[in-house]
Amino acid sequence: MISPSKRRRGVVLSIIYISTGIRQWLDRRRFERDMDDEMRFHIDMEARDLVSSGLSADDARARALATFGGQARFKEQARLDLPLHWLSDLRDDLRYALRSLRRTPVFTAVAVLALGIGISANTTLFGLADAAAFRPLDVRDPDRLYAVAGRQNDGSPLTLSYPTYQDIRGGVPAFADVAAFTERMVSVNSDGTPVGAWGAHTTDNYFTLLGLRAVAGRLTRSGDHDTPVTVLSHAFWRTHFGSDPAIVGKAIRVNGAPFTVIGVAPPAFSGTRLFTFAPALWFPIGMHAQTLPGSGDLLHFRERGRFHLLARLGGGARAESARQQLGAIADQLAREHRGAYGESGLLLLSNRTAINPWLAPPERLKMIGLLSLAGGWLVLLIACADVANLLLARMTTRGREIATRLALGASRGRLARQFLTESAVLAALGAAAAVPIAMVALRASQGLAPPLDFAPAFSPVLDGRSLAVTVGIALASAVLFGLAPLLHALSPDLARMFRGGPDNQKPATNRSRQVLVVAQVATSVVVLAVAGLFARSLDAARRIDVGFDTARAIAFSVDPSLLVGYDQPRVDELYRRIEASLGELPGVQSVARASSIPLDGTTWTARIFAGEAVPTTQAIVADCFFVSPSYFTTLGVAVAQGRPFSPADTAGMERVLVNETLARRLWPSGTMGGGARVWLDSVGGSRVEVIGVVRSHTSRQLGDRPRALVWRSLERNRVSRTTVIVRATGDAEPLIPGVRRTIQTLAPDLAVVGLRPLREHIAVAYSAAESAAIGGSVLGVVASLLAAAGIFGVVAYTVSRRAREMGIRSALGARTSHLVALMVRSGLRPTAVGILAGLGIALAMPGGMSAILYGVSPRDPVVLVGASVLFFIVAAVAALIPAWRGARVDPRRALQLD
Amino acid sequence: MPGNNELLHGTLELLILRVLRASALHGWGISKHIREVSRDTLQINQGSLYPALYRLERQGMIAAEWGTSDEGRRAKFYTITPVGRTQLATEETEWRRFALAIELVLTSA
Repeated sequence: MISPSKRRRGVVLSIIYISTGIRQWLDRRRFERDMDDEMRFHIDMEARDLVSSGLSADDARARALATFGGQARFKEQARLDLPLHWLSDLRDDLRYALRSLRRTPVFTAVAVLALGIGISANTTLFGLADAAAFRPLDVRDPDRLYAVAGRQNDGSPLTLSYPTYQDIRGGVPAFADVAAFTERMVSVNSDGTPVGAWGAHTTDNYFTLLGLRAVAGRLTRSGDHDTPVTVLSHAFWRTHFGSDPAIVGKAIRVNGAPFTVIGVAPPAFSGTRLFTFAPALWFPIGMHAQTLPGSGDLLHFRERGRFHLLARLGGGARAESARQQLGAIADQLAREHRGAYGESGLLLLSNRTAINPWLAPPERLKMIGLLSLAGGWLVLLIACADVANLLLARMTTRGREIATRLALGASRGRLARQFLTESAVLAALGAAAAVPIAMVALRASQGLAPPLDFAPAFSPVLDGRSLAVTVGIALASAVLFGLAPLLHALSPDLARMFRGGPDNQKPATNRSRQVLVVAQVATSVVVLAVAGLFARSLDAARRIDVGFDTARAIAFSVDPSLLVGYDQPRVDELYRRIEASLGELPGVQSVARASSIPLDGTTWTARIFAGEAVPTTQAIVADCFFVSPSYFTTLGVAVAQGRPFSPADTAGMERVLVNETLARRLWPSGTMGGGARVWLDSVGGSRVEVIGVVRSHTSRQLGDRPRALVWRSLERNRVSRTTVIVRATGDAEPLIPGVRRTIQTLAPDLAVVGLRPLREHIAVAYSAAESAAIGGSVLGVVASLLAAAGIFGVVAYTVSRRAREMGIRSALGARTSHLVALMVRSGLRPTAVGILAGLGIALAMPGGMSAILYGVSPRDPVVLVGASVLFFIVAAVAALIPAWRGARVDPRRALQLD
Repeated sequence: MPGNNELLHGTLELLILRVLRASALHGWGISKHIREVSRDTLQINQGSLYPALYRLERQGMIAAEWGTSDEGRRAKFYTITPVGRTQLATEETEWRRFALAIELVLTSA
């Protein structure tokens, strides 16, 4: 038992100890001076004593000094006793590390570059993987959020109807609350120019369930069910309303109906589902007659399953009990609503992150995320191996310095800390270099996405989480690459280091170093070759004939069925007037409409069967376009045989056109004949007449082999959202404002989406090829730079090991160029082996490569030779720098090393 | 310094405090005093003396002040603090008990 008084005394003593310690540390300069004074006094007194006992003054002094012992040593001891001495040590270590790194700028630059690449790869991949799979939703208690969905027979999720939602909301006690939402584009008009925006239509408990607070105004809450109010997303508020706080309370028009803005959602919130569009506005579901016109009564019919369900588990409730209660509801629903209810059971899916449970199981996405993170770790490992090599090379030349410091009394522990500090400084510099690289990479990664009409709900950013990961990764890398030189420095062979001569390292370690470089070079050559192939493929894709005239035309899409009060006759009438008015604009040659245009990323499909009375072929799946009669002339698609649509085709049997690819499959004999008939959609379905054959062209991805295509009449098969194509007599772009004004006059609340040159519409078709080319090039640069750092390290190591030999050769009259060549060879030998290995791998690449390349062979000699030569140049530079520096060393200095 | 008079751990502090109980002294004075009183049996290694002094100072057992020595030179004088006195009393008792125990064992055999 410690008595209270003793404990109190202990506390007082510790306070004195700490405060004195701090004072002494702050005052450590005086402390050192005092120590000196005190010791001098001591020695003087001792000497005086000795003199009085009969020694000569000199002898006495010498004896006193000897008795006292190593002053430096025990001053160091006293210093170590200072409680905060490590702080000043750390500062000294940092200063020393910075000085020593500054002395070798090339080494430092190469190491920082390699680390910057390795660390930024991790920061970037983490940023992407985190945004896609790991970052929890920025809402209250995301751990307790679940998505509820119907279960289809194959196990995949299915949206639910509003009555089912109500059953679940009332019938699962384990849930604290359940909200429902559905998403669709709306036409928003706040200043006379309607824009298309992604709208979320939610139950009025949605934001309360998530526990979100408005940035301005308020969010929808209980009681807003059927009031015409809307909440803006932070992004939409910024881009469309200039972040004006006065917007709260203002009226805007949505699909032509008036709505009041009541608030702005927090910036971090972009809906609860990734890999879809980010909602720009939220509406109460009770207003769906205005916000989702044409969708009928969504709230009372079990077959209208359009809702995503978001549930919050009640406090203390377990997911398992919720699952059981859902099961009971599913059983009851199956009994009571046979037929009207297509689901087989109900699914409970985690909705902790914004991973879209409808897209893929969150586990799978997390796995993909982890795999990509592992890729980053691999890059980091390679970078660390490079830097470790560099450090070892440097260590050899620093042997003398280390040995001297050891001899002067520095402890091995102190030296170890010194080297760790140096590694940490390098890692910190690497991390500092990595952050801007990662920022650029993350921004660029978003640029790689194909052009979309709405912003996607995917926002990889450099936030606190990724910065924390960067720091962690940097620290881990410091340990990784700092270990080898550390062990080297602590090796007991002090004498050898003191000589500073060549260390007779086991050849095995040197070979492993070379193998690493060979592997890096081979990888670089393969990646460079692949990047080159993608680039050539993209180039070829850009130059191919897409099958229609992309110049002098603009296109946009509209959906009049979105507007309140637009029934089918009114939509038809609007379309007629749009086509007529646009056709009258000066500079317009012709106007056409289509369900979509080739290569714009949207495709409908149809099943077709050949045969007269009964189908004689298996179903052929063809891409299907619903088009107006003027489509072929406006787009410039050549009809090779037969005729295009005419306005008279609206009556009688439906008529279609097919492309040559489909025609060949329908009639392999080659004769189609007049009045050929096919079945559409299903056997015994629509019987249609083929009136023309269109020259084949690509429809989905540039570089695709032409697919089977069929064109059907838009007049006879109505599609609510259509693309309007305007062909100009001259330059098309000046027509854009006039086109926009025309639509606004005809339908003031109708959003015009994607009004831009036709060429830009089909850019989405290039995006995969573009992403592959850009991504491949980036990887190629990363791999090459890391390999270059590796080669640099190997040559630098050779140079440091053979410094003495070079000195002798130089003294004996060898020419510098000869010496450089000698050392460069050590780096170029593994390079040559690596390039050959890389070429071998590239040549052996599976035939699968040719499937994703267009217009270029996977063994394209230009690419393969180009990649090899390019890499060889990089390698030569990387090898020349250390070799050149090594060869120029003054022979006298090199020889003195012995 | 002969190996047979290595001080037991913690004993140096006790000796320093004991010496300082009588009067303030500088480092050399402390070392000389111990040597003389112990009739040259205990020779304090300076490499231990000064770190011990700094340690005691930091622990609040002693305080240091610059003053003038008998020889008229500037020297650092150490004085015992009240905390040090209490500590000295405790440690002295401990030491006597310890010494007695050793003595008992040695005489018993």
